[in-house]
Amino acid sequence: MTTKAELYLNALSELENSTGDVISTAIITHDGLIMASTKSDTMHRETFAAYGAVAFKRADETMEELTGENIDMLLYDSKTNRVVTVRAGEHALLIVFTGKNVQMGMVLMNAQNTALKIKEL
Amino acid sequence: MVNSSYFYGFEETLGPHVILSNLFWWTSLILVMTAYKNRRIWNVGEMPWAYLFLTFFFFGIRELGHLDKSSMVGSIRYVFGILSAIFMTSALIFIYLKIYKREKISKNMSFIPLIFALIFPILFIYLYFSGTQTQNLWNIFFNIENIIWIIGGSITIYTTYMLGTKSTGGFVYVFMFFQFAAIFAILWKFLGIIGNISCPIPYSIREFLETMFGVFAIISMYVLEKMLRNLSRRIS
Repeated sequence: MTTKAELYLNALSELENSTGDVISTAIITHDGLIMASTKSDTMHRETFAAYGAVAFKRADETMEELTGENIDMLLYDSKTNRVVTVRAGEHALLIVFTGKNVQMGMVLMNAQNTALKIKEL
Repeated sequence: MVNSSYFYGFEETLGPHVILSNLFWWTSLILVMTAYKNRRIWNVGEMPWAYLFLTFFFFGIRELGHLDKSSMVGSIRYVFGILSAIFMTSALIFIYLKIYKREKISKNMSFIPLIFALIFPILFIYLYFSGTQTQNLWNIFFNIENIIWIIGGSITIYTTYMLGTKSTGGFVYVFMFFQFAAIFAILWKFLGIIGNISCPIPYSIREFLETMFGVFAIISMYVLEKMLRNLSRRIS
């Protein structure tokens, strides 16, 4: 029988294959625990999840303070990297860590589609 | 004439705190073991898990020592207390290094706490066989345990604080309660030192602090275990 973790991993693999220049992807909880993640040589999975969840939480709190609403997506980028975090249902977040050799629109669209898939799983 | 009522509550007693402490620490050990089953979800490496296990296991043994009031058992109890302090501090240092500092913990580095911890049983055996009186042995290890817990507790306050700044959700509570436990451990041991040096502190106060130390330790392990258990259920 296929576990949910395996289904999540399939969704992440599809996202990586269809987007390109993806360094790492993960589905995490709001606590920063990993539900599924693809391999990354650049950083520890636990660090990736912990920092990703904290960044999303802080941004969410900021938005809530400013507008009274919650955020559904967070995007931040540096000279060479980009991180997109998308809310994927009530309990999960999808984090996509990419390089800069991919169009931002493509990353956003694929990330949102994958988040929808995760939500439905 | 010595006023005996002055010393009421100053002596170590075998009261409810012994039962409570034993209950808390042995239950915490069970929680560590059940949390360990889901270690793949929070993969902070094998050594932090091993050290967490040893922390609760050795402190449980230390608390069992309360059941015997002889100086010899007391000294051995303190050796286990020292080991527990070293392993608790080390577990949180390693988690801090892995998550906060993003450092790889080498095999050699992960064994440093174990080697450091080995010094104390060896010292105990050496002192015992070199003819040190049992009461002196008790005094030496009582003071060493106090100092180690104060230093270890201080380090734990720092590591849990730093980890807390990079955490969210349930992990904030895990590290916060660990920090509370460390604060109570420091207070408990600090009063032990003060009592030994100059002003006797009523044992009931130290009993209370020791019990609170156990309360916060078990809460932090419960939160961690519950988080991992819930997620494990959700993704299976």
